[in-house]
Amino acid sequence: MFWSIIAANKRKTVLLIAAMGLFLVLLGAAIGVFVAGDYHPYAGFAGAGIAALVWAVMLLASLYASDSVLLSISNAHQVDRDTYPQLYNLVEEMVIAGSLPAMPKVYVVDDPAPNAFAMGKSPKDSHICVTAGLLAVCGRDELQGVVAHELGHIMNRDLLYMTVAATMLGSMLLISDVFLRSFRYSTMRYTSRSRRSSGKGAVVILIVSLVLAILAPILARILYFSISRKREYLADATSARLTRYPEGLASALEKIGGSTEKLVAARSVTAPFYIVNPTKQSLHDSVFATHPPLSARIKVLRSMAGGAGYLDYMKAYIQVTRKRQALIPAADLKGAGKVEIRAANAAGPAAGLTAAESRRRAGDIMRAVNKFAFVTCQCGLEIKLPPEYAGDTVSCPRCKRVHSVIRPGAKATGAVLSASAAMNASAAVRPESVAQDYSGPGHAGVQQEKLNPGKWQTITCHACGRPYEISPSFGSRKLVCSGCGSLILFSPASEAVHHKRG
Amino acid sequence: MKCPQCSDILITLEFDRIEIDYCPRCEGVWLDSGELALLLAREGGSALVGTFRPVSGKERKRTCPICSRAMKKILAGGNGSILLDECPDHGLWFDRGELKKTLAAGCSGIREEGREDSLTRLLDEIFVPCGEESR
Repeated sequence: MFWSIIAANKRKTVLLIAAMGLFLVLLGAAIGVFVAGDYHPYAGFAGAGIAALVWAVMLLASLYASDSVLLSISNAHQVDRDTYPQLYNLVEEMVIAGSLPAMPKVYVVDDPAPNAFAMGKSPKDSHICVTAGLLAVCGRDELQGVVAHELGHIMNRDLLYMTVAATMLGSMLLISDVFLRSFRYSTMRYTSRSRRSSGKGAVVILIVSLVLAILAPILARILYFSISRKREYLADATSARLTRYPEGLASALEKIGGSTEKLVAARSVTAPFYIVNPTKQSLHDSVFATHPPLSARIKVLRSMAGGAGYLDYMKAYIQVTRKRQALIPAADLKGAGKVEIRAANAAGPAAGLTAAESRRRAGDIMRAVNKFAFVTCQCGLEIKLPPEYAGDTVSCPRCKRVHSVIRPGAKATGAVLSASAAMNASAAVRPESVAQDYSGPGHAGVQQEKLNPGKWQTITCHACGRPYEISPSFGSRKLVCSGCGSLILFSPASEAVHHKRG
Repeated sequence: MKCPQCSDILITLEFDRIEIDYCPRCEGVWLDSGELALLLAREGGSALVGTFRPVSGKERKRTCPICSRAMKKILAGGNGSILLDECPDHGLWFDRGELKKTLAAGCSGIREEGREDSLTRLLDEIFVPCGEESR
């Protein structure tokens, strides 16, 4: 964990809230004096008061409602273990590896463009969103890299700062807009009596408030867009360490960057949240860029030779970007042990998908999330039934066989299995063959594993073969296999000794 | 999505990497915009899309299953014999048999063995199975 970065993020958030508050109050006072200073001696205070009120409302909104608002404007649908076990389990594995205090809520965004983002005020209350397009084009290793990157943002407390900054940007834009409107209105009103000017004071205030109103949105934007660049590198470093496989994220970033699909739901306000900027990105590293250049991020990940730890990432970062400034403070690197790069996952990446194919797979994933029923006929035709479909049976239009419709929701339904077929790299995997591999909770047994504290460990569930990477900081005694529900018990090495003595 | 013709719920069919929306009652087919071009490109008949021309047909106006706005009537095929419904933003609606005719028109004259095209054969299999054509 980057403790000093976390502390710095918290400090910066408080500072940002205070600075923005001060700035808004001053701006409000200037507007008040300008608009009604001639008539009411306390107009400045009134303006400041109104601005403070707006600021407080915006702050409360950013702390309590921003998640749901930002999620809903992004078209996100929540998924759980039943609706999308492949994704949910992957997130869970990374949560265990990163030893987060709580499981984030997992969402799939109805969009064919590959991308991902995270949201949340604290690691205890966070959200991870991936688009259907990302699920369609990414293999398991790549998806794991992206999920770990987003968890990295959650772990480093980047999201609180970004959420607050997003809301503050909104409030500043609103206030300066109000001011510019009232300015237009009042100049119209004042033109006829401009000769009866109230003196130099008014002119000074006018100029100051005008400058403020013009500068506010620009300043807010620069501040807001400059926040997430170093964070992206840091989250990449976290991802490399959690997955122990930097190539996964590198290849995912390449796919996201190379996609020609445009993200429909992205707004400029939500842009900094995504793993790769979904709005138009210039090739150059400008002041307004929300993300560092993609090519540099991929290059750093690919230059990580010899290990997947923070030290290896730092070395690669300095080598690629030629920056002297340390990415990770020395205090946080103390005790950062050596992390070996693991081998690529057996289920390789989904390579060579055409645009049409990945689009269709994204569509299947969205259908599974939206509770479509999937029926595969023996003749090879796959029938996808929307939840509104009323009948209990469906007749295959091709061979006229009649199938009963199994509604998604129950465990091991057609929808879930078909979604897994969509996830698997090979299009040849039909739901039937997946069904054979699937063993339900009925087969659960108790598996015992020795825990080696302070070391990375790879174990597999004996019931279903699902692999788990156990992090050195894994603290629990048990693990419920997310694939089949089997219980895996851990006996720590020291405790085993203790038992022998007793 | 609801069928523009009979308001039944459309179901999605996938076979050999082709996906269509299909009405089980009236056997009409909905293709999202661009999908027809993709299908035709696979068969080498993409020139057909260029022959579409709008007409003021007497046939009843139908509504787009996605945006519920009235769709435009268009004529397709070399001699303009097929009357289709098009939503400019979302896609095309084919009544029963129209998709097959359209594809046949799109692929004729391109290759001599055009009839052997996998797509046309497939659609034959899906929509006119087991000698039902005579019915």
